[in-house]
Amino acid sequence: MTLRISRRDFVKIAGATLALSSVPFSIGVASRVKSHSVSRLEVVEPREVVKTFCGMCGALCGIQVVKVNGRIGYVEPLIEHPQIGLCGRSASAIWLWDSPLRLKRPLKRVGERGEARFQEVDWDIALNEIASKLREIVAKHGHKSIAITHHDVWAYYMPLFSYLFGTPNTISHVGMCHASGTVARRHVLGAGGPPTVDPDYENVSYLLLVSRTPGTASMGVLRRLRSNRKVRIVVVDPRMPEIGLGDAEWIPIIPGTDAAFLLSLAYVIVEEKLYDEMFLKYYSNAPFLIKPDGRPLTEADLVENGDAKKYMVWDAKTKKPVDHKAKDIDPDLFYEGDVTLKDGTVVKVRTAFQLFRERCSKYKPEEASKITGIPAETIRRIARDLALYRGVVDDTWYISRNGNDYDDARAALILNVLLGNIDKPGGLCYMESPKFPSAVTVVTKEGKRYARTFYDAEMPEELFADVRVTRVDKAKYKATPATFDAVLDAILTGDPYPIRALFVIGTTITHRDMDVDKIREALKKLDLLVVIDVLPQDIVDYADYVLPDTIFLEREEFASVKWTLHGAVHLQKKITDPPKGCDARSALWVMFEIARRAFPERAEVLGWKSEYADYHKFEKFEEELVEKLFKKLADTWKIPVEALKKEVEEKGFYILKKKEYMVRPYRVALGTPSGKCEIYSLEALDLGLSPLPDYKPPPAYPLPKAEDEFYLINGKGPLISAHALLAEPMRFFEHIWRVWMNPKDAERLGIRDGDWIELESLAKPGKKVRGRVWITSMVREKVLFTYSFVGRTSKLLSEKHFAHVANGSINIAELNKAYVIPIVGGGASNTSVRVRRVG
Amino acid sequence: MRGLLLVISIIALIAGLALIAYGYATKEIHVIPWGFIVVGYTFFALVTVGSTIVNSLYSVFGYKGPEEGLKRNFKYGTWLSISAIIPAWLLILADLAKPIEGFFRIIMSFAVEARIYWMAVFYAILAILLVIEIIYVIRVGGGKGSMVTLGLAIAALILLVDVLLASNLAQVFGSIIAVPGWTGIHLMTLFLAGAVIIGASGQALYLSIYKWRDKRTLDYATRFYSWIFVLATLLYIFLLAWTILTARYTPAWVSWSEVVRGVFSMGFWVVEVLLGVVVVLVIVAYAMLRRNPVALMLASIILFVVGFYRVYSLIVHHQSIALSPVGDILVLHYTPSTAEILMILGGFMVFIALLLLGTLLLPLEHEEKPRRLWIFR
Amino acid sequence: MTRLAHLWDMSRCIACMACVVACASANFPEHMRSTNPNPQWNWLASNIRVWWIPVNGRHRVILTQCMQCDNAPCVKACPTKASHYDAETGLITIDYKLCIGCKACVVACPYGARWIEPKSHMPNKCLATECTERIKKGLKPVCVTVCPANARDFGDLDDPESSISRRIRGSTTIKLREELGTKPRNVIVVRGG
Repeated sequence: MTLRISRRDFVKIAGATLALSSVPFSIGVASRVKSHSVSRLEVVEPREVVKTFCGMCGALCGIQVVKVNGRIGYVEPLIEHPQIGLCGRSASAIWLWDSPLRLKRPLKRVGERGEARFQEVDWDIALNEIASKLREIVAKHGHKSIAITHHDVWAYYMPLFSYLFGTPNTISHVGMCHASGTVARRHVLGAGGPPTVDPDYENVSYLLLVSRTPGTASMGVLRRLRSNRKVRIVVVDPRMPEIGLGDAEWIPIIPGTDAAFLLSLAYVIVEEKLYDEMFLKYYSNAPFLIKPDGRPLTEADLVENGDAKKYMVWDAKTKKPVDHKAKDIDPDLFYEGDVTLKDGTVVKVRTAFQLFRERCSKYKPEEASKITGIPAETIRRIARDLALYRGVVDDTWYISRNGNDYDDARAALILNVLLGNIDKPGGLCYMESPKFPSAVTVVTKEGKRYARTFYDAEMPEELFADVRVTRVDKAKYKATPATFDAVLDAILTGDPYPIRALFVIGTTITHRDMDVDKIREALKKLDLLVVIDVLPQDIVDYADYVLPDTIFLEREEFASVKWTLHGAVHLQKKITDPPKGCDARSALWVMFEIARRAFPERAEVLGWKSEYADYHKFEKFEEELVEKLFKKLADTWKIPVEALKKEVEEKGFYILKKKEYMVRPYRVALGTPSGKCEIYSLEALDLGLSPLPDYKPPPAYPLPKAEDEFYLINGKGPLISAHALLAEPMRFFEHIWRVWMNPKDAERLGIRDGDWIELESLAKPGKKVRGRVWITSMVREKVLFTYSFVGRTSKLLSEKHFAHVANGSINIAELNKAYVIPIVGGGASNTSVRVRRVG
Repeated sequence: MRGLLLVISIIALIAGLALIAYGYATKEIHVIPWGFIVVGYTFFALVTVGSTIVNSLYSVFGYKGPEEGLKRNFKYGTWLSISAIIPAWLLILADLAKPIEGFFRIIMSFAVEARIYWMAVFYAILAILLVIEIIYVIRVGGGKGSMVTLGLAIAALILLVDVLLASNLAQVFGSIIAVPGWTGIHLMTLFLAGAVIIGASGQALYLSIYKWRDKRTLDYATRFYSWIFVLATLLYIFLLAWTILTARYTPAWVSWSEVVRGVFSMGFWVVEVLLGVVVVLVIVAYAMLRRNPVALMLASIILFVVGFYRVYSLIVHHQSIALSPVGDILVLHYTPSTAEILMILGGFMVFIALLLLGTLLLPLEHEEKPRRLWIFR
Repeated sequence: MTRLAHLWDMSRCIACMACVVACASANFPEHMRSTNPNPQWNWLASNIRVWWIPVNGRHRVILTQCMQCDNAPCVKACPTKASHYDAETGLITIDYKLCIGCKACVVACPYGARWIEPKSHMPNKCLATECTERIKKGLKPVCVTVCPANARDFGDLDDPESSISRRIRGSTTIKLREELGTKPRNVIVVRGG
């Protein structure tokens, strides 16, 4: 091209260039970008922090809430607290407070039970109607026909509610949680619920977890464990729990065979003489002489007017049977021989240890291997390591799984006794009691009995006769701490007496308990069902009245710290009111108000004034209650109440007694009949249970055999609690909403990750549900795993905020059949299923 | 007729702009950061580059084409380049969160280590050069070439900037280590070869449609573009084959294996290879041997569409199957949303509208002189 | 020099998600009710990502967040210098006044640590506003503070007496994708410490 360009042309070209190049930018689209989030800290300084404890599960860990711009912002752990938080549930508490799912106003049922059709009513109407119905029911069936079930929320006040409504039937979740373990703890160690004995997590050298997973609830426990640098952790479980994601050895075991495994460990420890001989001789009932009828030899057997509580052991020094408490004796652990009773008969006695040894010999590692699926060498190795490191077998927590769990727990506890690692640093230790005042105690004053509350209101005996009636669950399961399944039976059959009214407070029995069809049937048969909760748990669909409760951020509560070996108390502070538009009120107020309207005399005598109907006046009453608790505690511990209050206000907690080791059973007798650790449980014997643990296959469901049959087990985790699961963040954690399947099983059945499967219950043939699969090696072959409390169906869960409701999780209660361990009262939530791919 | 076409093209232009704006206002976040919009932008950018490279055969190297067809239709080629670069810019700006500030913030940052900084720089230079060129060729006309002229200098500069721009565009992707299927220089080679294919097919389509009655032009186009198609396609497939073979034991195999024999293989073998190579070469052979302009048009359409698919596959597929930071394979399911599809549609509408407008208003014919408003007919 | 970095301990983590949720609540409260707060990751509005990986047949979890690379590809890729090393903290910070939302940084990061916020279409990554202010006040980022498993730390790698440096000295640690030349600062503890 020839160059023929004038200066004028050039200027024009340049101008045109500029003009044309501005074309893209002249598009008048306003930028959608608003300025990216301005730092809120430019607006607020400093951050306000309120110390409290968490209520997103039952553990109650120490946290502090950071307020941002006067609103609740986020959650931090309370670092000095003896049980420090936190987990994903606690961090989600912010979402719970003003959740769109939050129950806001009292609801009254207008459809059928289960249809979840309600109308909003005001508090007065709801409470009056409930009260009126209660009066009707009580007139026909008595006070004892009222039952109240709960979980950890409001648990402290349950005895008070018992007296308020005149019924013994305040029955918690424990039967579906730790009942079997708690009975075992009582029988072997004279202890109570799960935190009453616990491994000394900070100092333990080797921790064997059998169906126990720290880091499930109580992050405080996890913190202590994780501060321990030398501990070796071995977890034995059909599925790998979260602790196995870190440094821990996971040993898969066939479900329901823990006892065989543990007794096999005991076998190795006994046969290879790895036990603590001194401990067994002097601090356990291993040397007790047992007669052929299984009962212990006592002084009463040997001499006239002998003490039936003086248990005999064989003194190797004097070669005679002596009282186990006698000084300067050398009890023979292995004695077998003849003893002449006072009536002249000669009986062959053997020590409890010999009987235990005989029991264990059924579970040599090769035998146990066949039952449990764990290689014999592994069993030997663990037994030896456990002994070598003087480790601890965790005393179990959630254990209501297969119907044979009571013996699992006993075997676990006995192993610790064998190793003599009781109440020592790094051992299985007793928790110091903070001596927290009971909500109600029965006292005698001037020859009359009164039920006295912790705030000194007194109910005379004539008003609480009904409360002393046998509780429906204790009538069926003598040793149980609580078995709600018995309430369902009482509703359905009227045995031992009918239950006609039920309060469900902060718990969802459609998932917690067994056999949801049975549960639904029972719920439909009630005359009155009142649900007090914060979110639409599935149980809400069946309620006659749904009453919105406050959440932990909205109320003050003074309580004992649960998961620490120290005796400590802590204060939950009221940080905020319920959100605007949410007329939630404390269940304490609700129950008292119902009682006042139904049984005014009872409420009055328990200190409830009619002016407390005004919620603000009630809040003053609540403050008085807390004051009373402070005072009682200060008196018990002989500390100035002002000092106690000041420290609790400032730090959020108070340690009343630091853990003192080597106390039980060394200086203080245990709560067992012998006062010592009992490998041979005398209380079990009295109850008609076998005094020694044994293995038997799970009675709760048929064992899976065919290629497409599986165990279906459930468990907990650090994201699992009935209400935490309804917080929005949970929907992103897919692993909690799926059914876990082992890759080998999946391959054999042609199932891929994310596929839908149909599970048909083998315990309830014909009962089917659908779920989505997550293929993971975190579950053993032949086993499917689901978390508890997933698989929601409440019609009140709106799609938008709970879009994952139809995402493929299952409620195991749809598939299991109710089984309760006789006498012990522990339930069994696992079951077995047949599986096929459906899409 | 001319008036009607003018109205249609203005409506199409406005509608296209509106679609782009609508798409911008409603765009969503996807599992991959650079999706359909970036594909559309890249496609149009490569049309520009390719068209310019084809044109440079004449403007830089003096090759006039069969029957001097390249020289005679030179201005059409230039206008095609400009018509494509406008929607390219519109789309890439619409992909930003702040389109209006976007360009200026980049230019003023002097972030010389960022490939995208250089995109802005090269585009700025190219924009100026293209405008200079179109005005120059309209005003001065395609006269006799002399090696030492401003025209040659402009043309050479344009070719240089084009190649730098195209390679830099490729290396916007190619320098990303996070997407193993991109890392390396293969994208640069594929983009350049691919640009020639789609630039040439754009030109071929444009000319054969506009001059569908002009036998001389059709004849030229059939002969000239057939050769370009054959050579560029063979070059493209050659480069692609080596890219795939070399990827075998590199992290890039994660995504290339899906292209060659995995989830994307159907598209690859049917569209890119069967259609884009085998079928096209057969059609082009027919076009060449029988001097059949319809066959040429068919081949052009196929190559244009396959070209879009190729760009889509290179950009989207390798993001869709990548490596996670912990070394396992990350599978991301991406499908273009309605907003994105509408935006690309808008881009094509702008492109065609501009082509039409330029054809109607500008003196693009050989030896045609501007009569109104300095550069218009 | 100050080289602040995160430490994550895979021998301790139990995937309780406290850190993930805490980050969301502290740094992105505006997304509390969003139905799709982080469509790119199909996740919460949180800077921490959780990867479930079957490793040697045993499923493992790895948590990642911005690695604070000393040779960061995101900083190099940013065409407006919005992603830069903060003069005060040395952390890779996004200047949102300069950012134009081109997503080059998101694509460039081999750790997938950045996500596009669905309202502004701008990139987000660790550390976000609340945590940045916390560290300026001598606190740790929220994820470190909340972790109940003692699986996290944060501090100056160039200070030999910082808690993170002492912990690294006592542990076996790795870094991710070092072969890429990004020089990530963040450390993963594999064993001990």
